[in-house]
Amino acid sequence: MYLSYLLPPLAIAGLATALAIIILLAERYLMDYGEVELKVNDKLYKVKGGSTVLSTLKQEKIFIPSACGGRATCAYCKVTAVKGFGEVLPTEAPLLTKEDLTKNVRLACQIKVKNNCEIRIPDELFSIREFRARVDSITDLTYDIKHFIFRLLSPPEIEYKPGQYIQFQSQPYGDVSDSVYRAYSMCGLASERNQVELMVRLVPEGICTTYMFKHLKAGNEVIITGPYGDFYLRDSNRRMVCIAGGSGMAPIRAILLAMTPEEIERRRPIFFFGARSRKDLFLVDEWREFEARHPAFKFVPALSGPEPDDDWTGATGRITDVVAQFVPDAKDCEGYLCGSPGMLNACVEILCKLGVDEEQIYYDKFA
Amino acid sequence: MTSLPDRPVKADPKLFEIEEKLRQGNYLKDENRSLNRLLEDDAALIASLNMDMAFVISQLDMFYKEASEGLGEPVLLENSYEVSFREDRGKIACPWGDKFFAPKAVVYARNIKTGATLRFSVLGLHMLKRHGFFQGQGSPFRLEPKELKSFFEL
Ligand SMILES: Cc1cc2nc3c(=O)[nH]c(=O)nc-3n(C[C@H](O)[C@H](O)[C@H](O)COP(=O)(O)OP(=O)(O)OC[C@H]3O[C@@H](n4cnc5c(N)ncnc54)[C@H](O)[C@@H]3O)c2cc1C
Ligand code: FES
Ligand SMILES: [Zn+2]
Repeated sequence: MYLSYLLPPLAIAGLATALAIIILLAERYLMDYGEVELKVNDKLYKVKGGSTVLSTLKQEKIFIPSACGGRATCAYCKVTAVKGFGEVLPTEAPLLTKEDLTKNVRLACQIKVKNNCEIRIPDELFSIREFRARVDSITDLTYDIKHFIFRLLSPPEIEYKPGQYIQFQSQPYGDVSDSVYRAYSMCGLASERNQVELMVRLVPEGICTTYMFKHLKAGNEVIITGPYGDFYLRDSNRRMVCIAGGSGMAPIRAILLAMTPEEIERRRPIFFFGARSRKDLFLVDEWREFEARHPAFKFVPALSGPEPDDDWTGATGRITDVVAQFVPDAKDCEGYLCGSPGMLNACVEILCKLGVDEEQIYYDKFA
Repeated sequence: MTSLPDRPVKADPKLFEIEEKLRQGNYLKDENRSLNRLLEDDAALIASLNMDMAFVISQLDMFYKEASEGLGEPVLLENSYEVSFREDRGKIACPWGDKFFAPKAVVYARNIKTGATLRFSVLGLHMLKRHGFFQGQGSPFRLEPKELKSFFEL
């Protein structure tokens, strides 16, 4: 009874799947689109037809952001399709907004290059590279944050604006059969172009961080792409109010380390670092040394829930309250924030209340 | 007794595509049953446990709201539960392809009287609410109906 009720729809679905597989195989092995022209912004590429825009561009060393490896689940790979791509596909539709549809925005991982066609992408994407790198060292910063240093092998150097991030590709491990791509902000000195430094916080059951914490070892080779993002130091004379929590210290560190003594003198940065208790604090000595070298810089670690034996005499309370206490009038300030979305919202709100123009509060919008 | 909201239609061909995505992620883990079968079995289990899922979901929703406002600090709810929130950067798309992007966030809850604990992710709550999906056996974020029942002392 139960079976007879299920069989017809199951049979239809099975047939539909089989048909889709046959079409896919036929397209892969029998269809030859030959060489076609793909125009990207003002540049013309002669490419082999038949593959998705994402993988065709990768062959041309143009790396479109992707966090799902082309499975139409992350929506990072949006490009403007100018001509040659036909109707929106059922696999793309769920990830395209009404605005995307009116502007011909499509998913590069789904649309295919089958004939002469044209797309537009942001110009910054042309400077993104794929790097082969070797793990140089992995060090504990706290019980759940590690510092990774990757030495670049090929290409041997990366050029980026301090504050930007890379995408790290994990490898299959245990019963995780998939590679995933995750964003991590660079935390080192941008002038050390032959390496990339990251601060990564372990996410319980997280696919990529479990790989990085439990399986990645010094000497292993990895793939990263980048640089991405528009979180970086803006040129102005305003005082900098930097606020971070956890691994959010990474891009703020990159920004502060890259500033010249004159810039620090002029911008008088104050860096609030929020943590729950002492065990979540790290690099305090490094920031104290930085303070000693640059009297115009101030570091304010703040604990929201210090343990009784933390022996803590520094700032306590929510990071937003601590900011308000130290910078009661922030009209001449600019905000640089990095942390969880909840923390970002609360910090934007308090900075605006204290007088910062919302346009002058910077953080990774993608986060 | 309320049934699960918006349960997918039996043997919906789209479920095959969704199942493929779920198997690539960590949603089904060592689950041998098809997605369709799993959804049916869990719905039957809820019925046999006589659980009011609308109540459970409204509690989980409330935990999420209150915990997220605590910004990482534990929040006490009417002296019955303690909840806290952990949020990482980034978003995760619902594998059902319904344009839902969850924050990468997890709610931890403790029943103060019994000491029982519960952990659920924002995406997990969405999948339970919208798709009646508790996740597969062995999946790290499976919401086990029996554990929900005992946590809420139903
Ligand atoms: C611009 C940017 C910069 C970033 N920089 C940094 C950085 O410098 N350092 C850093 O540590 N992180 C950074 N991140 C976060 C990082 O990219 C990852 O999102 C994070 O490390 C988690 O990845 P993961 O693969 O370990 O976890 P994932 O596997 O993606 O899981 C994360 C969360 O998704 C949910 N989830 C996953 N699977 C399921 C399931 N089966 N059911 C229900 N829910 C589920 C849970 O809430 C889980 O906690 C950044 C993110 C962005 C966007
Ligand atoms: S690469 Fe993730 S949706 Fe296209
Ligand atoms: Zn959904």
